[in-house]
Amino acid sequence: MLLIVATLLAGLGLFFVGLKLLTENLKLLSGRKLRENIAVWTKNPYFGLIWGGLFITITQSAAAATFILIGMLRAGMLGVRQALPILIGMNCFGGIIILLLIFDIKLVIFLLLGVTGLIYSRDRAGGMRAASGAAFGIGMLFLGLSTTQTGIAPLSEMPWFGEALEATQGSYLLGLMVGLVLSFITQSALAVMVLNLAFLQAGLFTLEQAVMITYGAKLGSSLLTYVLSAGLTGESRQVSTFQIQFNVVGAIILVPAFYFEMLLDMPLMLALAREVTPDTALQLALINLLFNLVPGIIVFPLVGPITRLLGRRFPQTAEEQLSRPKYLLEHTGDDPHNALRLIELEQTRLIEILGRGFDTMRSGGDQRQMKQLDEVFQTLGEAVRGAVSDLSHQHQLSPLLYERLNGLLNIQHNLETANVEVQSLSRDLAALGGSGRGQRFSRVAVDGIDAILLTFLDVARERSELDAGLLKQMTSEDGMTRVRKAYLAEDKDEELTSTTRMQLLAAANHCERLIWLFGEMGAAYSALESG
Amino acid sequence: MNITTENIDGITVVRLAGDLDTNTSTGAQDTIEEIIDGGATNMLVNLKEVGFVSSAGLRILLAAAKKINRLDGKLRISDLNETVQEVFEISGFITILKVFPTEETALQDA
Repeated sequence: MLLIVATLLAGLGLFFVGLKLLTENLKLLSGRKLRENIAVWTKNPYFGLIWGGLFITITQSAAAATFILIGMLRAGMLGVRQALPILIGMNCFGGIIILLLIFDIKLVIFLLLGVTGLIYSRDRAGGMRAASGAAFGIGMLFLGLSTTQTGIAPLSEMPWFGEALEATQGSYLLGLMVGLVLSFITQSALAVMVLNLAFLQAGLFTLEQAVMITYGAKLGSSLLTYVLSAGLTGESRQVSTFQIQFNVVGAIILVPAFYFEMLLDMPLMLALAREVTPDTALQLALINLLFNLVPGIIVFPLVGPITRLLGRRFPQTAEEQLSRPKYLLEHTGDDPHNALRLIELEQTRLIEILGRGFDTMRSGGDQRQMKQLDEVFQTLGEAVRGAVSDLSHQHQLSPLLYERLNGLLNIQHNLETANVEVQSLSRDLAALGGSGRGQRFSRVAVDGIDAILLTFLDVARERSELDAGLLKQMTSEDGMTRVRKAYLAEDKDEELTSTTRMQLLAAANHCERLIWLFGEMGAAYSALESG
Repeated sequence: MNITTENIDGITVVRLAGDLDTNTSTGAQDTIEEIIDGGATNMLVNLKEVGFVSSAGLRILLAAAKKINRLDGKLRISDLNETVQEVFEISGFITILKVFPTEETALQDA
């Protein structure tokens, strides 16, 4: 028994490590160009279906694939209209992987693991490392599934197990519930399907029981997505809701169909599967595939109206609007002068996001909101960096334009550093919140630095000499140091603990760095004007 | 926010009371602009009764200073409490605005 549990655990361990390895390496592989291409390729909804199929084949988990897709959506690479066909493709083609599992692909898995493992271990910094790591992840994923299958096979010989299953005989609804709960707990409908197939092949389940467990696993996957997406809003919520409802549509059609077939002897899904093949495992795989295909066929022609409906139910959030490039649209790089100006305009939006960080800190410093702003900043920042990179690669610029581009790149680097400092400052100020003196310091620091930021924004937007001069004066004084010393002085009326002192010191350091950065960037914008 | 004005020796003394923040800044800005537009370009803003000045409040003072400078006038600030003084120090406003400890010393600045 211990060996069975250990093998089962080993299989699941290999599966999840494989998934992690695959995801991490895919992230490294998904450079801006690749993601831009994906966005172009998914503009056609039929291509979207195929992409969805590839996606689920690689990720092996509808919930995981949904969240990767949400990540792409947040990155502004896709719209909801493009994401929905991908989800349909994911669900429809998800069943194919189960078909693959029925065939013995151990030889292929071992070859894949051997070759990619060798490349991955030797190519420490080369271009093949991410690709071989992702492929090795796929191999581990399949090895994990295969190990799980092997591990549970001896269960069929255990008398208690047979008795326990016997107790559920005749209750199809119980099978549905078991599938739902197991899929939710293991976070993978695929893992449940692997067990399901193994039990069916071992003769522990009838096809009917296995079918209901399959349907339950699908609903469990939706339940998991529902729970995981509880905090999502806007377009992310639109996509997750679509994925949740996809399986619900399948269940609404196929669960009653199952009962009609069982109770009224109507030849439906099971009869069709039995007609196609005598192999019960293959029959289950086909029914699983049908569960995925039926809702897909229904909802695919309705993508347009569904997108509008979801848009009304979960409108785009302010953060989503902020993270989308407003000026850097397609083909902005055709004229280098124009492209540079657009990059500058988009940078001012990054400064506005930093300003929102100070607004958040002022109203209590909600760390979740700060994290959202960080994501928004990084998404838009990546678009700006990408535009800078495109410009330098696509055009032979004059020395003057190269200088300007270099100046903007330096500003971009400093903006990204400033974002890190703003995030760190918010965390340190949140930690200081409890202390009276800390609270007061938070208040004066947030508004003091925000005033400098607003002047810096004026410089970035208008480039007036007056504002630039004011910013220079504001940032060249050492006011922060004086305030810090006053707060840390021993003779203040409130005794500070050593922890509070350290937090105060850390927060003051972030403030000092921000003041310096705003000054530097202001000077850089002035230099751009004079250059 | 309560705003009162008084003319002392040709200097328009604007006395603010309450917090100068996002909630009050628009009203304060309108009032100060009206005063400047009315010809008061030699101005002293007394913050003795102001508990806190936020970044929005600092922006109003900066806008007033810019406008008065364009009109060759003079803006002085006085009577900052400890907290407001700290905001001025951190933001560097202490260096770009003429700040005096009291109304009396500010009025002495010709």
